[in-house]
Amino acid sequence: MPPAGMTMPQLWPSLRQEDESLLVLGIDTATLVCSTAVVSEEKLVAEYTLQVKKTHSERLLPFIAAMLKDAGIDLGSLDGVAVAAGPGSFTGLRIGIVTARALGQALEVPLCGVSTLEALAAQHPLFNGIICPILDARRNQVYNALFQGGRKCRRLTEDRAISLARLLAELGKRQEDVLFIGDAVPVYQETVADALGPRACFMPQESAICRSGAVARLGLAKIAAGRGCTWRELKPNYIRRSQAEIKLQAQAAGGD
Amino acid sequence: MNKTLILGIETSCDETAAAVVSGGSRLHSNIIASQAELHRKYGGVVPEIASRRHLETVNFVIEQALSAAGCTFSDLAAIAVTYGPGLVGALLVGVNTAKTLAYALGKPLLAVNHIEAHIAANYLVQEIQFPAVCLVASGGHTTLLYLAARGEAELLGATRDDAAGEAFDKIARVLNLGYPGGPAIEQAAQSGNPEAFSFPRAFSGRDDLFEFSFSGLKSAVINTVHRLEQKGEKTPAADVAAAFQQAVVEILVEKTRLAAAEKKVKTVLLAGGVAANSLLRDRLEQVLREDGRKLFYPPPDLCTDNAAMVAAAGWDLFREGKFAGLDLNAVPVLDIFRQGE
Ligand SMILES: [Zn+2]
Repeated sequence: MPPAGMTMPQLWPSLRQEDESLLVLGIDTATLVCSTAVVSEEKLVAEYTLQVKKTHSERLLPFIAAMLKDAGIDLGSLDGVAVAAGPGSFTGLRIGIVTARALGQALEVPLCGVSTLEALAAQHPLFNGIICPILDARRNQVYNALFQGGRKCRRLTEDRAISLARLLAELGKRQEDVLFIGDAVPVYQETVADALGPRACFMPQESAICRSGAVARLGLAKIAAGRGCTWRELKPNYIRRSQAEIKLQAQAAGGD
Repeated sequence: MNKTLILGIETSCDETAAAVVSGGSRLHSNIIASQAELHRKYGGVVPEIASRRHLETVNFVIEQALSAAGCTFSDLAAIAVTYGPGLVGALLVGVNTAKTLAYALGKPLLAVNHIEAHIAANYLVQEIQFPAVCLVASGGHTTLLYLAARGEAELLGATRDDAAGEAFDKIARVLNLGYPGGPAIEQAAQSGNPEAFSFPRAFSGRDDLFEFSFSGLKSAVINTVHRLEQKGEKTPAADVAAAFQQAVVEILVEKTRLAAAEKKVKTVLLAGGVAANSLLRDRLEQVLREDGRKLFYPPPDLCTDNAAMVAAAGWDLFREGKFAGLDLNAVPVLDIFRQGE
């Protein structure tokens, strides 16, 4: 469906003007946190973050509207929209992505899907050891990716769904400290501490949750480099297929 | 360009649709991306799969609807969307798309009840004389309504268990006729004998005259099929389909006829996917003609889920200035009466 070979420089030729900084809107609805932010190249301009049991569908758009109004930012002055594209709750991801796609279609601005796990890790780039975001994936698994912290922060694994036992076994083979962040930490903190002892590090809650400021910052870097996409290409990264597909495939395999 | 162009968006079940309608009756475009093929191997709509496909499709369908109508976002007067009833995850895609477009474009947002949208499909086809009685029958609902005027629907009765279309789907599955069940049953029934089996018709008493029940009929059909299987006999699928279809149609026709008589209306409307069933159309038309009433129904592509009907129903909200807020949410279970107004 999306036309192939469409690149950013053609679509948005004069994205960066000499005297003005890019403004990118960030959205994160991958977990219970509903967060929206605006960043420029120099600073975090605004960030609204809410962590309550209220549907993202009701909250997100009024939140964006209120934040932009309070920050005195005209919707038309946005140069792009970045969104936490997954992993995370399927419904939560969809609300963020659908909102970003509609903004991209209506405003004709570039979009950027950012890994939820990468955005979490990007809040602690200088940690001296392994950064290990974990999101609750239910079915006895967590969504996870590993990052090497330090001055040259880099990714060690793909985004994946993995059982906590396997993740801990993987980390047990290493020597460095491991920083655990993400919404699965409160669920598994004791097990993790038991398995890794003093190597396991935890952040206070406010530094351990998804924040759209980080999503917007990572998105801005990609969009500025011409590596954004249009609404045609932006999709969630669910990691998992639907239960119905998994079941059907298992039945087909069992029937052979 | 016409000042009353409304973009309609529909994602309540397994059709992703967008359409442009002006003045609440003139169709400029009507784009429907059906997911039926995607759900066929599961024998019914899988909500998670439907939600995923809606997300991938909805903006493309909107783009096509605008270009087919020869207009752009800036020409629109408002954006209308189905916010319920339906599958919550599926509805969320349309609702959040519509809200965001309305916000980003600075256009009013219209929250449309899917059942009222089905009724409004009739306004796209012809001028309707009110008052009228309308039967909405589809995979999700079986509802009888009294319409004093356009946009003024009053509930007379609904189904207490399965929707008519749902019963069609289940029986089609039992008979291995495929999905969706409505067209499958209708086709199989063409070569069947409707008198080969006698299935029960539930016509209730005076106090629940306009309510429907299809679970007893459904069980009777399933039991018949199982009994034949136990005896090792081959199920005459065409006969069962024909007898089942006849029973459903008789129930729908009888209740609608009674409602039209009680409300003393000259006009009766059919709406919803089951309204595409030709036996239902023919029988109902016949009995109503005997009573001196006239039946109207939309063409098949406006009976099944589409966004033109959403845009048409949105027009009634637009005229009254009933705009929805940016906090609009999907409402999976929704009465015909708009609450909190
Ligand atoms: Zn419908």
